[in-house]
Amino acid sequence: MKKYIVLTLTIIIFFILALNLKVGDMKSFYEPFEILAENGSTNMVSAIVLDYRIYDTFFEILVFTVAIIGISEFIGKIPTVASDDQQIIYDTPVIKVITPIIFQIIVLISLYIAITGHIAPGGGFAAGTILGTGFLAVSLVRSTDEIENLFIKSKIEKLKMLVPLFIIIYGLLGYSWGNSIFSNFHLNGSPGELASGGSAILLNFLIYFEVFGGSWTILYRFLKHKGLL
Amino acid sequence: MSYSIIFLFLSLIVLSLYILSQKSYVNVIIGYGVFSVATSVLFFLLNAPDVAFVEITIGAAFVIFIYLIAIKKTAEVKVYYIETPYMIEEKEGNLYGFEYELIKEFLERKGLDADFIKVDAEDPMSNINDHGEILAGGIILEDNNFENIIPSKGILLSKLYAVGQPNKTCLGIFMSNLKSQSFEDLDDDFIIDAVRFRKIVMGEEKLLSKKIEIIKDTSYRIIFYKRDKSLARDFNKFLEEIKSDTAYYENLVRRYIG
Repeated sequence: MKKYIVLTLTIIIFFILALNLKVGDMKSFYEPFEILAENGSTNMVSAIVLDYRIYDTFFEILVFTVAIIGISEFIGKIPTVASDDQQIIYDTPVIKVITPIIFQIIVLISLYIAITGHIAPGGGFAAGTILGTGFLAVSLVRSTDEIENLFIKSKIEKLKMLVPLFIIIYGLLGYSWGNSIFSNFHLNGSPGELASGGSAILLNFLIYFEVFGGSWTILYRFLKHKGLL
Repeated sequence: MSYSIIFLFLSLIVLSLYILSQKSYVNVIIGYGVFSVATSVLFFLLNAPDVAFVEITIGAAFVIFIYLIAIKKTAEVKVYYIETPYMIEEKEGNLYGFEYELIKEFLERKGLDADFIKVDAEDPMSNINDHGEILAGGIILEDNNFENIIPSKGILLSKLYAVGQPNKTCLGIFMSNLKSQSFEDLDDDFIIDAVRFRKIVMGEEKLLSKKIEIIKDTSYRIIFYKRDKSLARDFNKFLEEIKSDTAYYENLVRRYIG
């Protein structure tokens, strides 16, 4: 019985999608200066990704979150390897000394890219991957326990699951300052300033946190179960 | 299209061919990193700086790190050894010897981990049956009638001695018509190599009553599994390099064998 309900639902959804789809109607109806006036981001990609095509971004983040949840739940059930085998020891003093120094620069750069995502190239996704890579580099030279303590204490594995929820709350709050869901916050400023581009900073930071948490989780799980997958 | 973009596109083709043609994992990963950097610059020139950011972090750093971790784990080489005086032996819980030093140096240069396992079975050659497995420990190969192995070039010159009327050999010397036995249990009439002979002569004097003669000159080898062709080739290259540095090689020999 269940099977038939699911099958019928799938067919209905397919037909709803097929009947409502108008192919060839997808060209842009905005001019660049209109975007600048309406949204306030000098980086037009940010305006499109975080305002005009916010649904794209939202579902991308949702897919990413589900994938990471899958990884951490699936790999979490596999027995871990002995802690001696988790170590990756590079004896080269150059890597040992330079990596922690470079890590601080990496954190600064990623923060900068996340903050100025709407003015200059960058954005949440790029910044998140940069910070995740920085943590990966540090975990190559520091002992695994140190990284593990930080990972467990920060509870980032659970916290990052809330990011899509925050984005939904932001979308619902859109009713209070606009008249529809996901309407942009009115913070146009003068283009090029930090306080411009509406809610770009907020969204960039949410994406930044999500992507960083996701890449760190992947890294942690892979290190913990090294050689068993 | 400007010349730099055409150049970058061509370099992508060249780099992908380079990656395909490489045998060593590390070279492939580094090649992939260079490929990513070229792609990233291409994105940047084609007015997509946002994508270029992501490409350069993920392609040139994240993926490389993850693959390095993976390789570091899977590339654990199992080294089976027959305990042999001066070549590879256990002293106070640590391994010690000429071959041990050589293999360790070689694997360290290749960025591989080694797992040393002692064998004392009758048929040590049956142990090697998987990728990344090496047999070492004073091995002299007189008749190569084994299928699943590649012997390296000689790492050290040696001699074979015949004691009395030989009807046995010691473990590690492979001669098709003679049975092998651990060299400590041998008591009469056998064939033995220079290093073990020296150990026995220096230890006790029971052998000297028999007639001893040198049969032939030969050299020690290290045995690789048949599918590790590239590892064996790299080892031979490494050996040539070590031997060309005469001072270092002689020092090594003098330190362990005298």
